[in-house]
Amino acid sequence: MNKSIVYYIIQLFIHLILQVIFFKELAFFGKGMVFIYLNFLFIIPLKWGKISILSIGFVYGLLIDAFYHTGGIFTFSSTLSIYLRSILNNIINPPDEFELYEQSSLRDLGLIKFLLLYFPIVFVHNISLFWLDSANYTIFINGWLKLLLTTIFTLLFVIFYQLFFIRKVKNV
Amino acid sequence: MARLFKFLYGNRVLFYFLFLEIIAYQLVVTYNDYQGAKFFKLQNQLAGSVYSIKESFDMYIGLSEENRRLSAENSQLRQQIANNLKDTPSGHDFISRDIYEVVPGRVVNNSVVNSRNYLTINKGARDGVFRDMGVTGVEGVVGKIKSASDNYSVAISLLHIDYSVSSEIKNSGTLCTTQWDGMDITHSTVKFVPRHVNIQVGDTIQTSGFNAIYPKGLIIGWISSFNLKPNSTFYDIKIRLATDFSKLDYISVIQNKRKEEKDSLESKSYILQLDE
Repeated sequence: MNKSIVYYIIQLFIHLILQVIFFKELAFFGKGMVFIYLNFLFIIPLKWGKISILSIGFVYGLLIDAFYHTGGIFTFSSTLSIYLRSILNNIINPPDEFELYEQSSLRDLGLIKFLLLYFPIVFVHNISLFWLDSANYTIFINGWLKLLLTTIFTLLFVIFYQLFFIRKVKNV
Repeated sequence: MARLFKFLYGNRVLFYFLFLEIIAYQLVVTYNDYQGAKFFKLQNQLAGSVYSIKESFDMYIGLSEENRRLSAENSQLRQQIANNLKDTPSGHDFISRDIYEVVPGRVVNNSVVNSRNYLTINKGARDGVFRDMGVTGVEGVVGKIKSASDNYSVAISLLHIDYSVSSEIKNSGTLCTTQWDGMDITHSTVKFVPRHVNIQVGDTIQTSGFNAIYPKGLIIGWISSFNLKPNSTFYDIKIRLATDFSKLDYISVIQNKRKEEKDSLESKSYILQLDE
């Protein structure tokens, strides 16, 4: 934890502000929303332990909910996302004997592995979010375009963010 | 036991995850009205279908008892027809008037152990059952519809400490209020009978028909005991309820077709009175 908690707290606030100020009202082609806040869940080091990571996801979701006035919808989806990340990471990016699996950023994984890891997470996140928001089961029929566009644009912005602001983590 | 703990500890992350998700879902249901309504409708439907399966088993087991009740009801109805033929219309002639419409139904779930009791009926909005309709049993008043989904509805039982029924003493026509005290499921209390009225044990308490939920003259119960304290304005009256709530089965939901007309006229008139 030498990269100090302060760094992650600053990251949290940057993501929060980006999400609730810049991306809240934005929708590409009227349908594609951007949930850049997910990127914060993707940069938390997994070595902090699954329980604490889940707790962070829960509290972070509550924070987003407070700004969106959607009591619980984002909490549910963000907890789900971070749980999925901890599971999928073991499959796609299995921890080596000698290295702690801290790295799952774009520069560590490469684009293909990165998409393999995060596309399912973002997709499931969007399904759960839209499903809870509309409270019916027809989102695959009526909302598939919205689902697809939101997933693509969210991933696009996550990649931008990772390219420009996240450095490769060095093994110590 | 040790293995159980081992299992719980081994899957602690999964359980913690599920715990957090349940909290989040509860938040969604609590703080979002639309989602909450959807959830409760689903819940209502689910519970209703489970109860109706249970009820179909109970029905077979209780057939002989039911036969006895039906024959008793038959004889009572014959008696009533005879009464109607020879003297003035009795209380139960509301069915013939076209103001009231009756939907017959069955009780699929019922509680009597709480202080606020509810019962579930197998008729809902599809059958024309809506909020604020009266419910009567074979013997007398049962309660009032609280909410209705498509196929089921939930009624406030007369055994509900916050629910009061506008009623009257049959002999003298004195207006009073019936409200359960939460003590005994065969007895209830009647309030606001002033001390100058002469009452006797065995007098009939019936609905007054003033609130347009029940027609006038449905039997609620009979006075079983009363007491007048020297310095109080009203009697303390206990009545024996006509309906046996522990054996409730067949009920009728009563719809007053002119309720809205009556209510809107009354509220309009009161407003005018205040303006003048």
